[in-house]
Amino acid sequence: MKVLQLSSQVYEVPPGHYGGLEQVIFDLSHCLGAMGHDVYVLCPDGSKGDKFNVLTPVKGGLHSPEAAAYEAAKASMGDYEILHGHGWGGFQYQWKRDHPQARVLQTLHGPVTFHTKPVDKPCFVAASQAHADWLKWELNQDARVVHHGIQLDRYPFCAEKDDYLLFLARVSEEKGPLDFVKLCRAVKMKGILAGPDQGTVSGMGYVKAVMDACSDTNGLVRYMGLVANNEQKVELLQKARCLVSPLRPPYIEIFGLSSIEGMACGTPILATDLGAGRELVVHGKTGAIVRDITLLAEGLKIALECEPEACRQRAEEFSREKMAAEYLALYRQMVQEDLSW
Amino acid sequence: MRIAIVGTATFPCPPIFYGGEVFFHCLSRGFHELGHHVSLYGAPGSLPPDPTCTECRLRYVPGGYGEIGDKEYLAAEWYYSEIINNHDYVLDCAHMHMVAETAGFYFPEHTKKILVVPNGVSTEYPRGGPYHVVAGSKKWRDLMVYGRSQFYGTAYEAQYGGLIRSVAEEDFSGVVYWAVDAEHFYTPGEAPREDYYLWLSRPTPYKGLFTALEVAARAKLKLKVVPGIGMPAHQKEWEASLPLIDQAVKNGAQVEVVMLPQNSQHHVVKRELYRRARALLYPVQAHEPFGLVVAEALSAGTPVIASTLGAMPEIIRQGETGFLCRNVEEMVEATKNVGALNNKLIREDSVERWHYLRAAKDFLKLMQ
Repeated sequence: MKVLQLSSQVYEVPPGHYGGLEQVIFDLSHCLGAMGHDVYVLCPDGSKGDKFNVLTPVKGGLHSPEAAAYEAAKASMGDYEILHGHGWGGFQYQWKRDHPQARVLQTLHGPVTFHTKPVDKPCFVAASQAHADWLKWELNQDARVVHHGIQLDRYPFCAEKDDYLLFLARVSEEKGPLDFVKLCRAVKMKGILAGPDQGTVSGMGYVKAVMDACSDTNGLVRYMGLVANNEQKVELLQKARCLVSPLRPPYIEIFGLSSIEGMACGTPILATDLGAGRELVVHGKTGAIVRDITLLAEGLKIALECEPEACRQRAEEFSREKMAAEYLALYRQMVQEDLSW
Repeated sequence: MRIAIVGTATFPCPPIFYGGEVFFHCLSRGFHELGHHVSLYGAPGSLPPDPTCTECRLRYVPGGYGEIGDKEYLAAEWYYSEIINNHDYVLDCAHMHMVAETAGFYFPEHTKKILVVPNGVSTEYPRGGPYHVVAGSKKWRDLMVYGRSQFYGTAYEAQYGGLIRSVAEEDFSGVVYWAVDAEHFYTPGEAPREDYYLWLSRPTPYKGLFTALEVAARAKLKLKVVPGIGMPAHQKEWEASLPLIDQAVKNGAQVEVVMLPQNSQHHVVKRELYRRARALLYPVQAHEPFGLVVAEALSAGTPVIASTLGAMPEIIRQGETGFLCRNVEEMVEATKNVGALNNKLIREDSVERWHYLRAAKDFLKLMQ
């Protein structure tokens, strides 16, 4: 099968550090390529992969040069059996207009409000049931669900833990970094707060507030900023007693790759019940899902009781091979039954 | 005294893996152990000098691994008045010298407070500010006073330039040799030496990997090559050096590449490599202003075979703690003689000389 994946053109595939969308595209394309399919990925300069072909017409960045990438690849798009979009620009509509014969599907990687209401019968894929429900509620739009998967051997299991809690997400208000600092102070446990501080919704003023809150704990909570590489990220995940995700409304987490990565390393998850958390985490067994941030300390007691082995077992249900197989089934169905628009 | 140490926005103090910021963190511990109150301004990931001390403080400044952008100016904006008003002395170690550069505008009367600790010879130093520069070696000071970059008179001069803006001699407060956490390297004691030599540095061409490989090929040595990689640019430099290794292997060198883990195990793995090596080969091809790896190797009792450039003659005692060589022949000769040096004596000699407490005391002498 000849497939074209269109990335967001923000970060390289695979990403150097931050970039969940790009990591998912890499894992999906790698697995499809390993199964013998002919996969092309339209992504920014600097991307690489040995199981798929890389088309890099543009230099990536936060200025989002998706339109330029689309223009560059437009002429040859008729050659593919499947056009699989991942970007933010809504180019699936243009694809369909330019190539009426093409089978088009679009995986949504962000909040539903990013996308305009579709005009026809598109083949949307959501990352979780919560995401699909949100899409239905907000836009009355049906979507299939394919859970993201990760490369499990990149996140080895580790049963020995150091005594700290981990926050690993954007340093942005909706992810609740200040609530994490508060939690560490309340339960008197060490904390590590890691995540990128750029491209966040809250801006640098909020980042300063978080850095100062960490400074004021005099070493109890260590602010790490952007984690420079996977090796360091894996060590942080492996040694943590619990990965804490104190999301704040109205944010809805559409998947939560770091939860799967944490569980794969044998680390239980503590999260507020906003979005896909309850689909990924088994409450009481691989972590705790609490109603809101006021219940974090109580949830932590439950999460700390969880067995690392159970966490790993749960994460193994979210492998990248499984994700690729599900997408492949969907591609086949689209070709045979003339789905998509 | 209340002393502020302002690190860089690039790597945390101490760095989790790559980074000379290890010196600034050592220094903050040194001042604290000598009874002073230290505030450390460090990039994300930094640790307080002493978490149990309520008088010592840690402030995170924006930045991250490998980012040298203009984040230090953001930090200056955020913390400037706090730093300048609340401390008796400020050691400005930032790349941009954020305090020293802005001090002239706001507090020109603070002429004794600010000590600029440059990160290298070619670091842009502040001009017209009320500051005093402290160089990490005599060679370092001389280069800056005479307006010479570290590439002056070397093969790299055409590429990187040989001249920099000079610093007036009276703007120098003095020389304080940089130091390392010598006890970390000293404490485990003697390990049985294995039969390999070590090259450990950033894979930038002037650090002399190709010379080390040539020595290994001519003397048929076993050489462990350990690249220090802290940011994508270093990775590219490393990939560009791989053909050199293939060539050296064809010429008879036994080369083993060791990649250091980029997590908390980094410093332990590095120490174990030093402790078991015959010698560190450090044939640096430009005027290295200090050479932290040399001090680290010596603290582990490992002799150093180095070039004569930069601060090497000031750090290495010829024939006692290592050999200074003018060319490849001399280095090959030195590898034959290095077995006669006493590892224990090297360790004993280095543990005080390159200890951060010594550096902290030297700084305090300059401040009084």
